[in-house]
Amino acid sequence: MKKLEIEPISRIEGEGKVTVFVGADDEVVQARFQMMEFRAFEEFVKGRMIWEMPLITSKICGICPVPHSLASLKAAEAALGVDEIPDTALVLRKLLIGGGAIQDHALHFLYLAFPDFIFNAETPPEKRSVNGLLEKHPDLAKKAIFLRKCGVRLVEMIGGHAIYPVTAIPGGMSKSLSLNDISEIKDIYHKGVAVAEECVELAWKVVHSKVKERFPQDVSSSKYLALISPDNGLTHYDGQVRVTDEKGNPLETFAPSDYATFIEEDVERDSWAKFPFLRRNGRHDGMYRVGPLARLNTIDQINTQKAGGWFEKFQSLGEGLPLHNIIYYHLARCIEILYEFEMSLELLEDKAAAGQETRIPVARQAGEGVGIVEAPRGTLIHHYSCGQRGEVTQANMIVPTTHNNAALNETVTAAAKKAVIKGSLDETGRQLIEMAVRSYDPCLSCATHSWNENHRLKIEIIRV
Amino acid sequence: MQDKPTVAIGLLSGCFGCLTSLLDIADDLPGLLEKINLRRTPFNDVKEVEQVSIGILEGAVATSANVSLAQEMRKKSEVLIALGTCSTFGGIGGLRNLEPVEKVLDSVYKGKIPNASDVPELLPKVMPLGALVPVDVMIRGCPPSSDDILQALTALLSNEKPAEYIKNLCNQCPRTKKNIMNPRREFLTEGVRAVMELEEIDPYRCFLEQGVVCAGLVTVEGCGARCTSNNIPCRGCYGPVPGVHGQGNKFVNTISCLLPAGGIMFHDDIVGTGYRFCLADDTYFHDKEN
Repeated sequence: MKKLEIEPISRIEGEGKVTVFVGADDEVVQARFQMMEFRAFEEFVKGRMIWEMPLITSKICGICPVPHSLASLKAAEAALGVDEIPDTALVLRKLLIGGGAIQDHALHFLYLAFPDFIFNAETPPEKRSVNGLLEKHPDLAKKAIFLRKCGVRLVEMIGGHAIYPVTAIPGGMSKSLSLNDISEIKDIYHKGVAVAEECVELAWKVVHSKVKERFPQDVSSSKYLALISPDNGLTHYDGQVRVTDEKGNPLETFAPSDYATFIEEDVERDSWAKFPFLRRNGRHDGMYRVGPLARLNTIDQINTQKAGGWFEKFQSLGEGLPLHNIIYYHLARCIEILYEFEMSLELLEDKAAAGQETRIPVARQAGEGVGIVEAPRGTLIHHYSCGQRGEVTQANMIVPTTHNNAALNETVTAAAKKAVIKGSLDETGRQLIEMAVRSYDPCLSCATHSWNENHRLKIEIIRV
Repeated sequence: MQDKPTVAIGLLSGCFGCLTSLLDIADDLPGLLEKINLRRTPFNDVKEVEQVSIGILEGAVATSANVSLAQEMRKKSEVLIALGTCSTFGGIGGLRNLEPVEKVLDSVYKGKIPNASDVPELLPKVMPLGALVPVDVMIRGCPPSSDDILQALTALLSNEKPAEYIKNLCNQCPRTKKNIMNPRREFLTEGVRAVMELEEIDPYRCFLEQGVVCAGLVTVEGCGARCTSNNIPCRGCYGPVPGVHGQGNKFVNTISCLLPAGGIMFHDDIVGTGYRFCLADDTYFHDKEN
């Protein structure tokens, strides 16, 4: 057996590995994206206090700690019987999840993925990076830095910490926003809208050039899963879960607390990550995808002016069908950045944003609860049970990269079939496979909250 | 170009948060990138671990693959930095040391445990980087602040030793202490409460005096008291003061003199609070001394 390896796959959050199996006829049989970390969060949170869970689980991921903190908080509140929180707290949490999404999407698209659109395999590897971007397009690099700064500043202001928010507690938020804070954020967010719109235009251009060029079109179609708002619009903080089929028709809509009735998790022997699937369709037909592309394929509308307009353009590309090509993940991601800026500016106009009543006291009790939010990479589920003292007795978490696990394997196989020529891979082929992986923006620290190696994405070719 | 110091960054078992904090130096990023020659990092396509002036490792040592990457980076780095609390003290992932690894796996995968040879082996216990290889510089924090990372790198680039914090968090915490400073026979409060249970959170008074467990006394300063100034008690993410091991033990000793023992036992989680970020460090040094 012969192995060819690329190790690690670069420019993703963590280090991971892809194994390509090549038959005797030099044809690719299968490729696998392997998740090799294991950090056992679900296990060691048992015995911790349920109100500490947002603080503990936000440490699962240093890129999307905000959604972890909020999904965790919603699960804890459901278990503790908290039905209502003050309006101000709700507004602050929605702003928080928006800030988290802005910094995360900007990091992925401009710092990590964008070099693929301007550099090829001939560019020295150290230049295929934000360094190269700074040299070649310094203005764009500065805009990337600015976009991230907007989101990071908001998270710091509302969450109390630039990365891991600490202020979200059961019953509300531990602190309010001052009028000065609000005017500072409005100021930078107004500038942000313009930069975000340029970013969507840029994504539109580069994504189309890749679709024309060589990017694997032959990834399979899939079902999609995402939260939707009551008017079937885009939402990140709350809503019902909608699943659509390959043609975009709604298959199911269910309440977050019913997720286990619809989703089942499988384990495979060569990955620490689990493989969730739709129960009604079974392990193989039940594959679905989550994330920005899934959200835009699942919803009917976006309720802000500019992002709404782009969404219509996005939809028209599919001519009534969902867009399945993974390259559109990037476009969807950028439309979401724009949406978050616009939506946040609307929220900041709300009187509740400056409200001083941010929390209600909450008593401990035994209970069980599910919390679901849309993280940048997709639907994030936290599910806990606790005893009378508030001690956690059971915890389950399904993170976006895990939902996408099965689809990622299919995509990588499709990319490998195109990239492996006569049983070997050149630099261009390797980049093609890496780009396919990067489209999903996999987050290895998240997916490895219950598996955790050294986050390597390693490409191996094994001849069998 | 060739004369610039080379820098490589590797990821062990962590969450990328320290690197996010590094990127958050934001407007200072272009300036920093001009001074260094970035080699293998998650931000570019360099794959090989090469000889570099400065090697940075984020994350704890928890698997066989972590061990080989850490050892290789140690060998090839003139200066090796342990970046962040996972690397310096084992971090939150160290909490898996509460149970034997077999039990953890069985509980998560319910008997269907992945076992292919491609999946790296989990070490019996999570270790801080310093337990495996000599570390030259520790940058503390979960995550270390962007300023601290920038200052440490700037110092190293001018061949200086990065500054270290030496006092505990109370030094930076804006909350006032009244009773805690007076020797007295009684506990500070009658019971122990969670922040969410307080009718009002007093924003000016020490959390311990409000009956809320706080790890600030046994935690090194440096974060700027970002939690306590936002009405949330300290959870010890910067680890112990330099030279001290056993942040968790110190926490138990301190707290049990201040708050009612029954309250701590039954109304809070002493292990998950006191040892939240340093259990791996505590277990490693405990095993070493015995």
